[in-house]
Amino acid sequence: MRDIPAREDDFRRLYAAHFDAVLGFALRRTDRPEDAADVTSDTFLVAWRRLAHVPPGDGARPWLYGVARRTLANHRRGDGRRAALGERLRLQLTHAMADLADEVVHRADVTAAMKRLSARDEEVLQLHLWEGLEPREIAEVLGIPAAVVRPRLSRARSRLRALLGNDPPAAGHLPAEPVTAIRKEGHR
Amino acid sequence: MNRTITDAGVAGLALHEGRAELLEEIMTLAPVETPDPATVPRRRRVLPVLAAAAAVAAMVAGAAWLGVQRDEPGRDLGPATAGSPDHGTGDRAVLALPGWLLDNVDDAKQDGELSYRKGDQELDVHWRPADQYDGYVADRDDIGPSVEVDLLGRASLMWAYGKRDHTVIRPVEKGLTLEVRGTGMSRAAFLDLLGDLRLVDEAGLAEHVRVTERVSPEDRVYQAPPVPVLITADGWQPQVDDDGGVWWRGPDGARLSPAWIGGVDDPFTYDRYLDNTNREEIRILGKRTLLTDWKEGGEHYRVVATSPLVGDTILVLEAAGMGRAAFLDVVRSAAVVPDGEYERVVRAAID
Repeated sequence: MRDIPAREDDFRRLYAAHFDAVLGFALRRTDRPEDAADVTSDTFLVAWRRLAHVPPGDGARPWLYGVARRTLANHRRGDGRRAALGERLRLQLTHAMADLADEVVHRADVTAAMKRLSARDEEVLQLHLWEGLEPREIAEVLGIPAAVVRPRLSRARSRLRALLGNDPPAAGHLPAEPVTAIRKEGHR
Repeated sequence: MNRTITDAGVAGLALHEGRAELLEEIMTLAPVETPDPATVPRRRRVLPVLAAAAAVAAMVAGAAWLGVQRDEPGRDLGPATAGSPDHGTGDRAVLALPGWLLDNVDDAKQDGELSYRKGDQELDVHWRPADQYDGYVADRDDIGPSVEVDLLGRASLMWAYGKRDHTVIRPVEKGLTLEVRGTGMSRAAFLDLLGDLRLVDEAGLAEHVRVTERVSPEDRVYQAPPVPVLITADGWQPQVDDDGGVWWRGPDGARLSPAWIGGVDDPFTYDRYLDNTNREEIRILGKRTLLTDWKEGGEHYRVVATSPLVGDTILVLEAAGMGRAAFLDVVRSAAVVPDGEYERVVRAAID
């Protein structure tokens, strides 16, 4: 294990780089802001305790999403919070979300259409459209081969396009939304 | 949450103190290595591995009579009558058929879903509150005209998203409406499969999920592929992941992932490759095969996609981090073997 100051520095960098992404991931999948705060707290607690397991570079975010996804599953199952962390974050997040402006939300029609897909299609599309993940990264989050994700994503996109009629989202993007950090898939 | 926030929206939230305080709170805790949160049941969850052929078969009570009526579109079969097969009782439905994996469960009381998979075929069973029936029917009418078919003893509406993608909605019964969607299978196969569904109540659903989770690891994960293909190159061994998927590990950590894709007449027209000019034709498994490669996320991917090996199902073999010659050596070692040999080799790889 690295010495404590170095470990803390590593964790501060990880936290700074990915806090918004993990919180966004949780907010988009929970009904209550305080639940999203709990999922975020627990996810970073796992990261703190398993820092040696966090992949370097671009691999960190899918790893954190994978932890957040499992944390969320446990949360929904009623396992409750693992540590009473982030009380102030819970309070601030509840107020901040109440004041959320319309220009910083995803398109409601796309979100509604995704809910009409199967859970499997919905999840892979959420990871692609909301989190901006490439199929390879989605595979890491879900723990399945990329070769399985690619056709699944392709089918899910087709189904979403069919539901949206003449106004489909562009590949890898939601049109007219102020997202800045969504990456395109690689050339295939 | 009614509105789905973007990452840009998250970055703009006034959370500075809460965010900073959480960071300090976490770092006051001992950095003790703890297990990752387990991937286990949740409201909408991916089960590690699920339906076992043997366990599920015990729940099948027949109900295959739909098959004989599958080529009569537009026919109103009416409600179940005396003498009809036993569809079970309840307001939701489960599939109890060997070879099908239950790989996703959303067991909400009013709006839930089960997702089954067999190779490239998928079957999704939804149940929804009665007041959503009209909305979903109107939505599906955008697909095109519906035809009436029987679903669990009730005249129901079926639409075709494509020649291998159909969905059917059953009228409200006991406060819930059912929708069943089959992908990766013909219309006839879909209608056949509907005959293997069984109605269950809430307790029956829980039992179905419980039984499928209880089966032995070996039965849970083995899935027969559309065609039994083994990699025979030296140093390559099959691996089976929690989802039941088979992949191959080679020397120096090399990895080859197969995927069976249905509904593709010709790999050269498969949409994944349409915009890729770096394509070459080779022969594998005696078939015309497309070889292509690309870079993504710093990795160099190489892929071959065969002409249909069975029906309109193609085999895609994908690897990352391998040179062209090594990749060709591996994929050219692919061989069709007897079913029993494939099963023996793959089962040996299951923990």
